[in-house]
Amino acid sequence: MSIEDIQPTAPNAAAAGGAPPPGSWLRPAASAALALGACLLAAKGGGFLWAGAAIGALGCAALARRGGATAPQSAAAAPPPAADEATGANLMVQQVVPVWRRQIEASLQEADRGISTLLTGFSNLSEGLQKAAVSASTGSVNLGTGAADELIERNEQAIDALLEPMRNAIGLRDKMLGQMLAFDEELTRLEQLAKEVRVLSRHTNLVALNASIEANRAGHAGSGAAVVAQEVRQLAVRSSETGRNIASRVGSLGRQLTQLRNEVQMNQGSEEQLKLEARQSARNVISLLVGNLGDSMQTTRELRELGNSLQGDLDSVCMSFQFQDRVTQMLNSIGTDMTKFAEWVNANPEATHADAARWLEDLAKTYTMEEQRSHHHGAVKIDHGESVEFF
Amino acid sequence: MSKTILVVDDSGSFRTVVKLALQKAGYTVVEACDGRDAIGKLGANKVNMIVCDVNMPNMDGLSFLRHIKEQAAYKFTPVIMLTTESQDSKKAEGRAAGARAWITKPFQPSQLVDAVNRLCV
Repeated sequence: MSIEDIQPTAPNAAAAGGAPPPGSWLRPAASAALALGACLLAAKGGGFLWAGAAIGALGCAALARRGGATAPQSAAAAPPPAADEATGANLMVQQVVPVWRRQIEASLQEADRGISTLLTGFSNLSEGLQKAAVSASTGSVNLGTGAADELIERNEQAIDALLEPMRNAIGLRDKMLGQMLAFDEELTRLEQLAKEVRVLSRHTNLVALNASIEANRAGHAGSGAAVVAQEVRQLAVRSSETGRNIASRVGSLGRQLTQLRNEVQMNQGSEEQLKLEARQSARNVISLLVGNLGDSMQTTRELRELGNSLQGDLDSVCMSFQFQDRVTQMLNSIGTDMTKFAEWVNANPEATHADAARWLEDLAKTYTMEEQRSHHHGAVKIDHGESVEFF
Repeated sequence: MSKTILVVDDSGSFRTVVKLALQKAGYTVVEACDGRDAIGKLGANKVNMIVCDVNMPNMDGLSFLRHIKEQAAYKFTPVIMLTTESQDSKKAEGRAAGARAWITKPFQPSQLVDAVNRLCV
């Protein structure tokens, strides 16, 4: 039901700030106002009950005006008098009720707008949580026992590629060892040549010694040859020393080369051994990573569970917002009845208890919800049965 | 392609509640604020199912239901009435007019989605 099609039926001087019109209505209206105030106080604290209390107050006001027991005519049978003809409580009703109606309508619209905004916000939250949960689910991997070995097997080629630079280094090392061996052989030959130089020097020295002896035997004629023999002996001695120095240096180089070769050979491992070591290192690293990833996955799982839990809460919130629709229907029903009541009071200044009973009976027929029927009779406990019924 | 459901209710916030529940279940939702508006929306959209309130201005849910069931195009379109009305007489009216189910507010979103899944084939 909507209240948009219902228009105020009287000018609204009081609401517009105008002074109350002077006249005879003031005295009977005082009792009506007292009754209205009492009813409002009695209804204090209930969200939409104030509107019900207002109707009760209007009823009190109408009944307060009545002196006799004349049965009122129906609202349909007696057209309401024009606003300028209304007096007393009727005038009050005509001016106050439309204001109440407008206030109810404005409150409903305000509440509807606010709840729609809230729902949109909750909807966005819900959507974000869903996306996060889906994202967390799709990113999960199996991190159970043997996850590291499985990852190594799966990434065998990648690990093998990691070994390539080391393999190249081993190749260079082997080539260098080969060159060192060749160099060692050259040194051995040099050492041999140095020995030969010393032998030659020794022989040259012997030859020079013999030449010197023969020159002495020749006397004065051999003095020149003696000088040459002496020079040759000195050269032989120097050659011998040079040969010894060469042999010594070559020996030293040979020892250093041997030491170097031994050190290189000590660190020499096979490619298979290298591969095993690389796999072990990879396993250690991956195990560490898997452990850290496992912690991260645990956190993600907890976040996902929290998201699912919040999702349920958001569903509950959305469910709770249905109260707005129910409140709207209750207030619309009351608002419609207020307008009808104002028109009726205007047309029937005298009312009886029978009129009130009839009015309440008609009002009860307009209810759509069990809550309305229960509240009408003063009961508050509502038992909602099965809400879905298939035909 | 998801199925389209026309949601007819004069309360904007309530339409939002229904829309959220149905969209989460994978349906596309078209909204209308009363029976008259719903007739216009039916002309502009291909609708697989209708979820309709009863008490609405301009044209109430039962009048709308009777109106569309007179037309061949919507004779077999399933309609669920979603309303605060709980009187048996009203339910009987809905059933006679061609409604397939009656859900009384307040409802659980899962109940609505189950009913829609069951009837929207």
